[in-house]
Amino acid sequence: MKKLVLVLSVLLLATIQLFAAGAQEKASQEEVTLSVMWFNDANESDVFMDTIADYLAENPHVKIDMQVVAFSDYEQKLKLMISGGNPPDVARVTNNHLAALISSLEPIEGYVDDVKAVETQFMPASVAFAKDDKGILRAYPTEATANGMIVNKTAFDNAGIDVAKLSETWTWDQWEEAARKVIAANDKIKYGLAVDFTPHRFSTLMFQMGGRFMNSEQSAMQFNNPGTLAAIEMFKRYHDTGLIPKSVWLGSENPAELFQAGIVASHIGGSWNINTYNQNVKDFEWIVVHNPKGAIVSSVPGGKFIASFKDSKNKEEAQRLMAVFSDKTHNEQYCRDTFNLSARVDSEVQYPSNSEDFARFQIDLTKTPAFTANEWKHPVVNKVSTYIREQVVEVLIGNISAQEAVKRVDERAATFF
Amino acid sequence: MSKKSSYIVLVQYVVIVAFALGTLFPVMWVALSSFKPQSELFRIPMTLFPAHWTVENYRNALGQGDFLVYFSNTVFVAVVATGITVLINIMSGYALAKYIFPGRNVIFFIMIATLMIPLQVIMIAIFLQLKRFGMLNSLWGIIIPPSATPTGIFLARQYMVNLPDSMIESARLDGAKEITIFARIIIPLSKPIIATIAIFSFMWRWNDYLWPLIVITDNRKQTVQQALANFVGQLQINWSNLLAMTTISIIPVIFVFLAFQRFFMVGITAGSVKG
Repeated sequence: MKKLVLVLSVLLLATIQLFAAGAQEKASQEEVTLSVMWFNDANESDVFMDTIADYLAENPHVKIDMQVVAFSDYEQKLKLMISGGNPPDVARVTNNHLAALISSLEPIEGYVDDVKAVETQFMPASVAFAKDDKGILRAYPTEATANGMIVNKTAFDNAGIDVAKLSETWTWDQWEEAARKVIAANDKIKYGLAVDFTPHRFSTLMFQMGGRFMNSEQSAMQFNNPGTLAAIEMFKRYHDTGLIPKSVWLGSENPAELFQAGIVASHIGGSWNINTYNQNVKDFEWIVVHNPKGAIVSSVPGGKFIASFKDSKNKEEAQRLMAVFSDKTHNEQYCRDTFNLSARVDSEVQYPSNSEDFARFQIDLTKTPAFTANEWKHPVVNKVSTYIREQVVEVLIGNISAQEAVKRVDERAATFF
Repeated sequence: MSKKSSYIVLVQYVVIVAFALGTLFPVMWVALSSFKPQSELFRIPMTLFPAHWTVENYRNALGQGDFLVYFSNTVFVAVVATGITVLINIMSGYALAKYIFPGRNVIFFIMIATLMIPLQVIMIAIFLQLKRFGMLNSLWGIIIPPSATPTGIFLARQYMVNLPDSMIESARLDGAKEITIFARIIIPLSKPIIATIAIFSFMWRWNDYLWPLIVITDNRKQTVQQALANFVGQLQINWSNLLAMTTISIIPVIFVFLAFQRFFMVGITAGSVKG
């Protein structure tokens, strides 16, 4: 009798186990609709859907509810949804968004076997942006952006300058000499350089001149340093001598439009301009060149990421999708079709055109010190960035000296520590 | 007409035409630039007319996203919301203008005071309310909550205050019910203010961006203004598509204005003169 009870018990347990496993399998195959929030510069949301088409085909229980929101209101909408306890399952975010939202994001750890192995797959600057202040990875890097110089090659050719070759070793003094020759040799070229009206793009000059925002421990702002002062003074001199149009930083002119119109020889923008210039510039030839050397050669890293949120409803499935989207094959496809630099260290993106231009951005990015990313992800730098721009404008107008501007920035930043 | 006064009339016409052209120029520039190839948009010197006419921008823009869906969503929202807004506002305006009840002025004051509160301040509260009422991600969530507008109620009240009380009293003596008085006397007499509120409401709903941004998350329920804003990215702006779709999006507003314009000036100036 005892034996019979034992056998029956074992059979019962086995049956329960079998049913439980079946139920689990059934549950895991239950239909999941992932809400994905995206913003577009061009057609990135469509390319995202194309990129993950194979994943969706292999996982028919996963559906995507794509929500495209304009970039200008993207952060506001995300914050609204997070406050309302209703965040999306997956969202595309920039490095600036990460600085503001990182504490609301779900850590990657716990959803992958080895998070350290994941980190090593991406560029250190991108990983730095994606980590919180405790060093926990909370987003997958997708694209990298690099600030850099794009030139009107036709205008340089007309001045007898092989700008691609020169830029391999050029300094800012050599760039200035060349730019003046280009202006003299081309009736249409009125200016040597246009710089986007953002503190991020200005920081390209600052880092190149050996400047920085903070001290090396990031315990205080240290905008008052010889490199930053040199960058502001150089920037002012270029404005005062007409090498840079005043209409951008002291007006509202769009530097990319000035470049496309063919009246400036060089533009400090970034890797994202390649796509736009490919479509819009038909009257002259342009190329990406290496950044001129000041104290160092430096670009400024930035990028885009995908992340899930602590309060997302389908975190498991969201993390699975993000991991697949960020793997080598999918990332290469996405970056190729959106014309972006990859954030992966092992990527070999085969662009349909402009491979050399992307390569130059990538080379300068590898020469860029890691502290540039760490400074730009610091919340205080983000809080005072608009103030920095205002102070640089004050210097350009002539209302204050460069020395006064850096002093003011340090004082303002001190209130946030 | 003396020679001097005809000169004055001529100068007046020249000034009016100059102002009209000045006002029209940006709209004309947008419409004509939407037919320029992308590479021509940034050419200096700028030209008003395209050197090479193309409809490529329209083709690209219509191919990117479901613009027909966005347009039908916007038409539905603008038309239905305008109907509801006009009804609620003229009923409120009528009550505040012609009925005497305790707290009438306080209620009117509170309604007007809501004009001082920017939407951004109450955005999170609205989001939570809409979530609770199950109106998130629904076109009715765009239509219903902002239907009663303080501006519309104010305009309706100011207009209706000037309607003679004796007419309403005569109707009552003849045995007309309140709803009959409202439908058969007040509404026909209020056509100018109805047209004014309708134009304002339609334009506001057509161009509204922030409210749909709070309410809608599903791409298929977006309005035209949301879709237009999507052409402006973090680092790039698709000017060609933006110009093409902007040109299409202003056409319905122009038609509505033309249809109601004869009532518009009467309605907008109503209540501004005492008499």
